[in-house]
Amino acid sequence: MGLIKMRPVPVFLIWILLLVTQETCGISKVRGADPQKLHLYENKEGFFHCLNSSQKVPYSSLNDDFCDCDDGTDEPGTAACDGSTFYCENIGYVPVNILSSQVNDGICDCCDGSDEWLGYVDCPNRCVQNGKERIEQMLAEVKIIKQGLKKREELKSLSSLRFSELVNKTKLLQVSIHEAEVLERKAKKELHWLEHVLRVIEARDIVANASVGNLSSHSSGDVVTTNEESSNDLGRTHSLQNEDDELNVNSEKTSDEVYKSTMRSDFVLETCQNISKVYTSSHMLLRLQKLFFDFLSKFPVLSNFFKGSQRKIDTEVLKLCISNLKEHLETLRSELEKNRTELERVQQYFSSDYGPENVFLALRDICLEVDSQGYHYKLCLLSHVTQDSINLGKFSQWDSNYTKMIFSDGTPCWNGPARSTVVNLLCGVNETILKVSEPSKCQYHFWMTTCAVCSVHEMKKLRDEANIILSNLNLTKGQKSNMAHKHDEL
Amino acid sequence: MRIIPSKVAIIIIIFFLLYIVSRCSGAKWADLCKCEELSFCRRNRVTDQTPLEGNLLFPETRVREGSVKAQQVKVKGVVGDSLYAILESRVGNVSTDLVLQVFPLTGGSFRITIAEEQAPLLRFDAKDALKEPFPLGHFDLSPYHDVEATLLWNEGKKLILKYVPFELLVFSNNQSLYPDIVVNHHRLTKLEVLQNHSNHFCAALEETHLANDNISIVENMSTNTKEDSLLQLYCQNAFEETVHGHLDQKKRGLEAVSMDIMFPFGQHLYGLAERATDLSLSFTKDSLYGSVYSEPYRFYNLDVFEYETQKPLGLYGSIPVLYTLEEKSTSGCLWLNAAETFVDIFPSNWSQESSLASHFISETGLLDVVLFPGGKTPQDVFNQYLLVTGRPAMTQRFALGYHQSRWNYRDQMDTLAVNQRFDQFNIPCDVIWLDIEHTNGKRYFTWDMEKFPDPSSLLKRIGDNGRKLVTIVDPHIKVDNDYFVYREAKANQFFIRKQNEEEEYSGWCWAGLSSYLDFVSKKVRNWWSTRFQFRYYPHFGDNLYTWIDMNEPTVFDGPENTIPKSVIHLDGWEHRQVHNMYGFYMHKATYDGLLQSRNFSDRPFVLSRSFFAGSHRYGAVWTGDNQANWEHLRYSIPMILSLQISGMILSGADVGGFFFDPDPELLIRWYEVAAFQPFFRAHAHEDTRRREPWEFDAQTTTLIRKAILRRYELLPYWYTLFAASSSVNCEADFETCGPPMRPMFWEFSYDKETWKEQTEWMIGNALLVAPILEKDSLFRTVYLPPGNVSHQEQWFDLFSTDSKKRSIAQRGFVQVNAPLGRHIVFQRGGTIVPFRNRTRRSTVCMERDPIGLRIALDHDGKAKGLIYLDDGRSFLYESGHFRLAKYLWNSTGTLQVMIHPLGNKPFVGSDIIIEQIVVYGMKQQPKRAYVSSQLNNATLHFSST
Repeated sequence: MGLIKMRPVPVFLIWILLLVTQETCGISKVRGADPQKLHLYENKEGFFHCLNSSQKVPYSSLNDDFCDCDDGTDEPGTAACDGSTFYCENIGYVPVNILSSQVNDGICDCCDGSDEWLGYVDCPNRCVQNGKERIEQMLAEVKIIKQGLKKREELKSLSSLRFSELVNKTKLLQVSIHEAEVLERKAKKELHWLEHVLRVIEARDIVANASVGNLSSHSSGDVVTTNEESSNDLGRTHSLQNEDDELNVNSEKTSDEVYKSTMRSDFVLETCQNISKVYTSSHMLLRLQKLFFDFLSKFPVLSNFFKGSQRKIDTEVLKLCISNLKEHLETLRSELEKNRTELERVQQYFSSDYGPENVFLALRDICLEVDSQGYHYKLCLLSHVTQDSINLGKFSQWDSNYTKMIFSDGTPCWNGPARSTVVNLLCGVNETILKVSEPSKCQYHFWMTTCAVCSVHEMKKLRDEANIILSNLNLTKGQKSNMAHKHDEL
Repeated sequence: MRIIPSKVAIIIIIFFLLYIVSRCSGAKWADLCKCEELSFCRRNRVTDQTPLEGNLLFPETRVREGSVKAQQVKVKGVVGDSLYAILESRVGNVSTDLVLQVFPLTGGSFRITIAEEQAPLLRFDAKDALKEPFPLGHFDLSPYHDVEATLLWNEGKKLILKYVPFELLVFSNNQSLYPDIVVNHHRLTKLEVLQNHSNHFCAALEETHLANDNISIVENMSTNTKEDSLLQLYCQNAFEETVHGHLDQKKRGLEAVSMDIMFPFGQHLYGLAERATDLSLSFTKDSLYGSVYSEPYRFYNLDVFEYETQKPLGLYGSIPVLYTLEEKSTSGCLWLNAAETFVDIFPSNWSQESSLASHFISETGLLDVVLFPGGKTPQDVFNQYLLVTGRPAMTQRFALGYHQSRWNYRDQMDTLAVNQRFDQFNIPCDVIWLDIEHTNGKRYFTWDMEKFPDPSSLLKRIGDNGRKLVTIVDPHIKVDNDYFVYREAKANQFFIRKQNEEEEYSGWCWAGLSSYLDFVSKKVRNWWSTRFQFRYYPHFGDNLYTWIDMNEPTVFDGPENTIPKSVIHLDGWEHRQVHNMYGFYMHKATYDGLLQSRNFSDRPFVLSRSFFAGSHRYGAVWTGDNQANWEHLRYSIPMILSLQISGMILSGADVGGFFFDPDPELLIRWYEVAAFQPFFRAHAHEDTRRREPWEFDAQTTTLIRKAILRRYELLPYWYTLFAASSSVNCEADFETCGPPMRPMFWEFSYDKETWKEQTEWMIGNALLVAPILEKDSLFRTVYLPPGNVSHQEQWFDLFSTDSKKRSIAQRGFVQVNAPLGRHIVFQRGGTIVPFRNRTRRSTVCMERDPIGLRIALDHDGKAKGLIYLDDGRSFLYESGHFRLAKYLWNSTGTLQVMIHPLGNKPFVGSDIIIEQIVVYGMKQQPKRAYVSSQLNNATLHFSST
């Protein structure tokens, strides 16, 4: 093809098409306008007032396939304005407002085909068919919702039962922990005191023995060491005394004085009796007290001790006393630890949000498992998610309307973020995982059904939709009664 | 005293962190071969440390007396003339006769080849890069001289061949005294003569001197010893060398070719795609010149992991074309060689004027170069280049829309959800892409039926909105006898073979252990083309198109991530001879496949990562695996501009950056850049977070949507520009024929300010785009070329929020405020740009929409422009199913419309209307507007601001 000269042609493209569809008497219809807003499209002294601004344009601009209003409202029936909508009547189905950009683009969007009014494509009216299909679909949905709602009631009572159980358990645990803590504190103090007494006695003995030993076989070096040890011991005693103000030990007492006081067997007796006195307040320790005295009774020597005899026995008794007390304290502590852990566990339940009426409480810790694309997934509701042995996140929060459980802070990805999971909840009778997917690396999505999200509101919405469809149907009587029957089912 | 050790500890930790960081970012550059590490480059490169004078390694080449003659040649049915001469070339002790052939080509360029007169082996001829039939021209060889021969041909060009020493001078105008191109001015033309191994002088040398690894040449050596040492140096690693731990055995021995090409008028050089460097090429040697690089530019198609910017390394494709420029003169060359190639750029001079020179060194292949004497503008060189390599394929119109991709949309439901969300947010989109994960275990041409249980329904659902689906296909075929593609290719022996030629080569890629199809072989290509038929590729529907990737080719366990050079192709070539064209051949075969599978009625769309000169005949390319940072955003511009001027007009960069996560600001700005670049596709790595337009806040979605809408608004203009570039009658029918996205120097080569400009560009000749390219930046300086004495430019700020500023802008450097969402686009006075401003779901949905015209008047109140329309997908335009309208606005305020007489047959949208005309720069308020036509009369409404 050589050089081709263009020849001037008067008009290549036709300039403007007037596409206004109006009838002479008033406005019965403006193409694409929502009938409820029809009054806004009135001809006001030759002008159309743009809907969302104070701008007005000549009335002939309405639906003339050219966008005149800055807010795009003068072209409900054409695609000329970005952001406006086209009303599909969809008789037999649900009327909808579609984007004006979908008008006359060669794709059938309205089921009645009204969006393709220039006829670029043939759009058969599918509305009645769609309506019927939709009704059938809704019937199935409603059936599920109904079953789900029933199941949800059960779930709710289960949840509230569990909730009150948890509350009671918490109270019980708190009481017993409190009691045990008081006892523990007291026993600890007693123990300190007894140990202190024992040390003082022993220190005195060592000093006494040392002076004896000095005369006999012990080397002087050994003596010095022992002395040092004992003085250290005494020093510790001193500090103990300082710590234990509650025991009213006079910190100014010299060790000798302490010793003297401990020498008094009645004091020792008093101490042991004190122990029992303290413990009588607790039924737990009545047992110990009993044990203690049973124990004492088995050793006749101890009786001597109570009679205020040899100091040798004093220390033995003291040691027994201490070891028993320690054993007891140990039991007490482990019991306490157990109860605290249990309380913590129970309280954890309260730190989570179980949605309206705590309905999700009964689902907590229920684990669902599924195999998908070569992996084994385990989803423990409101707790955690795993993929084989990899942690995909711990439960962290809900979305605003309790339809998504969000799990975060799972095992970090290589070169990436920590794994996280979103569980989408759909209304269903049973708890079942429908699908698992990983849309972004290390971000997982689950879809599962549960009755917990079934709602009357959903049902109402379906009913409303059904009403619209039914009212939009031009039906024969027989059909009507048939549909009415279906409506009742809804 | 205690502080010091902790300080030391902190320093050590910081140092360690720096070490890690630098290792991560520096590893890729360090892992790639440098010239010095490759024997062929080492022995052929001349640096300031290599004295050329008396260097026995560089040949004295002269034309043998009486050997110059005119010959008639026949290439694929085309008869023309060639100049034939014998060159005597002497390197060291060896003297050889070489044949020089000069082929004048239509369009004024010519091709020169140099090869051994007699050689035991063939050199690979990269002629497939050129268009068929090879466009030969005719010439007069006269007059003869003792010292030189002059060649004149009907294109008004002249060539002088000087005999001693050999030198070629090319003149764009036969009256001119100064040549545009001079070959061998620096005496670097050299061809390492192919010899049989048995009597190869290096082999002989190996026997006499036990190969010495540490050869040094000392100044005071005797000449004989020096020559001896030089030869040893020359023969070092002649038959094998280990590079970065990979042994390379070279059974053919030395075979490199090299040539220096000097441009006496050159002030700037452009081209040498693909690499992430500045548009204007830098000097590559000798610190005295202020060289940016100490390494030459490299051509070796590689999958460079997380490539860095501003490195002369070569990336996925090679287009060894050079453009040179000064105010009034342009010229260029195309180095036609598929082997690994290095190019030095260095300053030179001619008649005491400073100029530029290039030195090409290739490991093997024919010494083959096409010289473009050019003319006054870069367009002249481009025309010559496209005459030789062919016009770019006519694009599918949808390819100019927006593409949404990700590695990977997980499954059918996910893909459909993405498709649906475009409608939900009322954002147009034309193509959705599926990466490797859609296949059954990376067995290409299959579907993962668990994730995509019903691909046909997926295609239909996507097609319902006028959209297309693109699936990926790679050249590595999983070694698996149960995989039909592997089984069939193996049975037919279609795979590249190991060096011993007995076993098929296999390496690791996405599919695991894989074999590589030999696309260099025509029978493999023919077979591959049949794969795109429904019976071989299940669910290959009408709206499914193709993406080919990893076709450098990538081999994870190969040297530099590619296939070893010593493997053998079916036609007997060692891979080293054909490497840079592997992706090109795959692109060609895939293009042919799509063409055949749709019965030659649908324009193929094939995106390739690897390419070579001429790949533009087969489709689109993109700049590979870039990164989500501002530097990569900035460098996307010179990268795409280089591709544009090299013929790859359908090219673009992954929007948002492939690796890492962009923040909303970077992502929005990236959309604001890419909406004005030809191939507009968002794509992301598997490890990144989702970043589809709605994944951030509402504001981000709005701004991204705005950028995408801008692309669709200007689509009639883009399509017209693409049609022009692809048209064989471009000059006559379209007038403006450059690449759709043009460097500023393209339109304003007389203006020095534009020569290094790479932050703004032109779309066609009418629109100047200057996006924001810096973080937190709300304004930028834009250079609006003021024009020259004969023509003063006027510029109009199209999208200014202030309507007053839409009037004539100040020329020169101006500052423009641009918060997010403000697109900086100026229309040049004297132009008319068509647009469509209805928001639709896809390009197909727009085809019947009315158009608008933006008319920007020049100083004299005139303007002109074009619109091209056709069905956007078929080849029916070739038989008249198109409209090409030319608009002329004259100084009296009349808009004349002229239509191309051959475009008169109907198609969908052939009778659209103009709904709006916007005129910028009118000096007087118009009083009325009317249509004067025999066909109709309509009232025109008008308003002015």
